[in-house]
Amino acid sequence: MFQYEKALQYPVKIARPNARLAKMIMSQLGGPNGELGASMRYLNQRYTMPLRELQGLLTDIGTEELSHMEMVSSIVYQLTKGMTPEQLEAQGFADYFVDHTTGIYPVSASGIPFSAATFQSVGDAIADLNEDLAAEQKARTTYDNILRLADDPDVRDVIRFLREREIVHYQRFGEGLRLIQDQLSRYTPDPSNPYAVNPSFDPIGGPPQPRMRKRSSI
Amino acid sequence: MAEMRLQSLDSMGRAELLCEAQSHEFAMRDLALYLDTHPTDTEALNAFLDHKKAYKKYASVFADRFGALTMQQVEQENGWAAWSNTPWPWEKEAN
Repeated sequence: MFQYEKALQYPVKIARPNARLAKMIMSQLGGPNGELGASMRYLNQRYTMPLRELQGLLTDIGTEELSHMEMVSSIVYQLTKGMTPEQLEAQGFADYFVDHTTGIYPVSASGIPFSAATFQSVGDAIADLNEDLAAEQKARTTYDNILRLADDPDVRDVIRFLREREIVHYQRFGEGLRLIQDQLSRYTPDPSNPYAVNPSFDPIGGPPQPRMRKRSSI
Repeated sequence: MAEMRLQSLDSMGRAELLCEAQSHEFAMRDLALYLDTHPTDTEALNAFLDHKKAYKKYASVFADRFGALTMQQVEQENGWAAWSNTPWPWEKEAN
């Protein structure tokens, strides 16, 4: 189960509303490299991980991503709070406003609703962990791009914190990948080709040899 | 000495107390990720336990004075309002 703690992981206190900026930040909620996708990626991948350490790592990072999702949503909420429809329209927020008012809805900066197609869970620890490493780098790039465009110091402070976490997660996923790579030889009878197995699916000792099909003679 | 520490806890405001509690909470979570991939590092485990102890101290003072951070902290004397009627984290005044 999950337990809620009534506090953000890092405080969000935005002094000046800015709907234009809110639209950009929104991408890290519902966009292709956002925190919702990150959380769903890890929390769904964790079940079939072949080591307890990896199940723990994905659970703990996936949980932290939920709190990042809450922080990103809090930024968007505070950036759009108390504005008039005219102000929102002047800041390029009319298209979002017409569907969602100032409610929080996960879309990318270009308005595409969140899609589970932005992440994968293929039930293979090597493939999934490599995706996780790439995902952390893509999220860092997105935060870098936000920092190139955002000039509000209150927003930048929070975005810098989130960017830093992508780097820490990348480091931990790298260590996680090494943990399972070091054990691959246990899964394969052929040490010269350690990647010819799926450690999340195949038993220790390697996949069962394919059985010869009986062919009926013509 | 212990009395002085207690007094300084009492004189801390809401934001200050929350910052202390959440700093230790964050340190715990960061160390947790490290421990997931380095489970036998006793130095990291001890640091985790130190932060856990400090978190519990600040979180419990915070809960008594400003409302529960988790449902487990709800007590009879403060009623349900201690959970539901304090600022939610996305509000500016909660941070």
